[in-house]
Amino acid sequence: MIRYSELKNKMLKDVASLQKDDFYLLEGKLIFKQEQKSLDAKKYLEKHYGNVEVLKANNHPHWNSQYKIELYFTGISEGVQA
Amino acid sequence: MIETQYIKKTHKEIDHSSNRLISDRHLHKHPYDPELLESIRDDILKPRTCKEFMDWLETHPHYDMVAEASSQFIRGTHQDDCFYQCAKINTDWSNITSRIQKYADENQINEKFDTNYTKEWRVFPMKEQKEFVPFRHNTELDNMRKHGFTKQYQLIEVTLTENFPELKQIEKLFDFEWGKADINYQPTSGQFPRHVDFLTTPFRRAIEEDPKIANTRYNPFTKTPEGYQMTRILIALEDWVPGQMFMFENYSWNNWKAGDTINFAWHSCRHSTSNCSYRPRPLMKISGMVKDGHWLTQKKFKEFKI
Repeated sequence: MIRYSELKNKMLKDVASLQKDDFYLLEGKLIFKQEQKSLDAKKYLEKHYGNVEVLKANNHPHWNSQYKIELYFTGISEGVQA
Repeated sequence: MIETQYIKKTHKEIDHSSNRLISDRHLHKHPYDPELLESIRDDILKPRTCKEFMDWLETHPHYDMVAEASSQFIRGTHQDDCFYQCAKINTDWSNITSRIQKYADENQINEKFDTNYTKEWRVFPMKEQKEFVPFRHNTELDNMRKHGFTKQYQLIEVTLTENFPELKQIEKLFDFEWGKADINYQPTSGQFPRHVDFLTTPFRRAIEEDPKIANTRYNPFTKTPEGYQMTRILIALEDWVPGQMFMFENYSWNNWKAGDTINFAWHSCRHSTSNCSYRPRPLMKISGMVKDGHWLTQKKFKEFKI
């Protein structure tokens, strides 16, 4: 099973444009503050893990930051790890 | 090195107000702030022994957020990594379920269905629970109640009683250490909202009884002492009927037959249940610890006949 923290560490290492505070985990989806960074991440994730769906992020008044995009996988193979 | 031995708490000795907020206005709102979840997750990942982690968790004022942050689940994960059938148990289920129904009738489990705070949580009297002090964190219940989930399920004691000897026999098939079995009995209209677990009731008991486990490094991904796998399996005690729902993230478990047994990623996959049928839904849940290498850690399937 892919674990978010391990996946994130790998993404921060491999995708030069990404910084720790660019994206987080929300209910299984990766949520990004900037659209361009989500595109960089999508490209990387599709190359290594499979198809990625893109959603416009919903924002909420009780959150500290604003977000643009959410990404999630549609079908990761059994047993895959980050 | 001298291992530190800790004092076991009885139910009476637990301060039930210690992690309680004065009002549900102080609870964080759903959906939780992703930034805040990340900072809690970073805290969860700090190196701790099992005892240190348990103390941190037990006294945290926002257990509900800690639980959410503790999930490392990524949507799109394969269904078999969320839950899978690990066993089939063949026995006279109709005899067992008719006695469960009789027990439910005698104890008015369907009629007095209101999930409240820890004291009322289990059907078996609390004073008898010397060895197994249940863990229910108040902010989790407060959060659920705030959203209207006041009728969840009832737990009928198995391990501590002689009411269901066949179920205790079934519990032994799985060779759990620090095992604990209950009937998770969900009357009609019951709903348990999505959540992930910490299995703190058997975990705390292991910490209090075994200083080696208490001092072992806690693995925040598996939520288990290093070298072990905390495990929770669910055994269907009756055949599924339409309206009974059990979700693991975006996957649904249904069409089960009595004796079907599933193992699931309780530590990561948010799961939820609802009984919109016109029959109570009895499952047996068994939680405990197995060592790395046990067949339940290897996605194997076993069939048993009793």
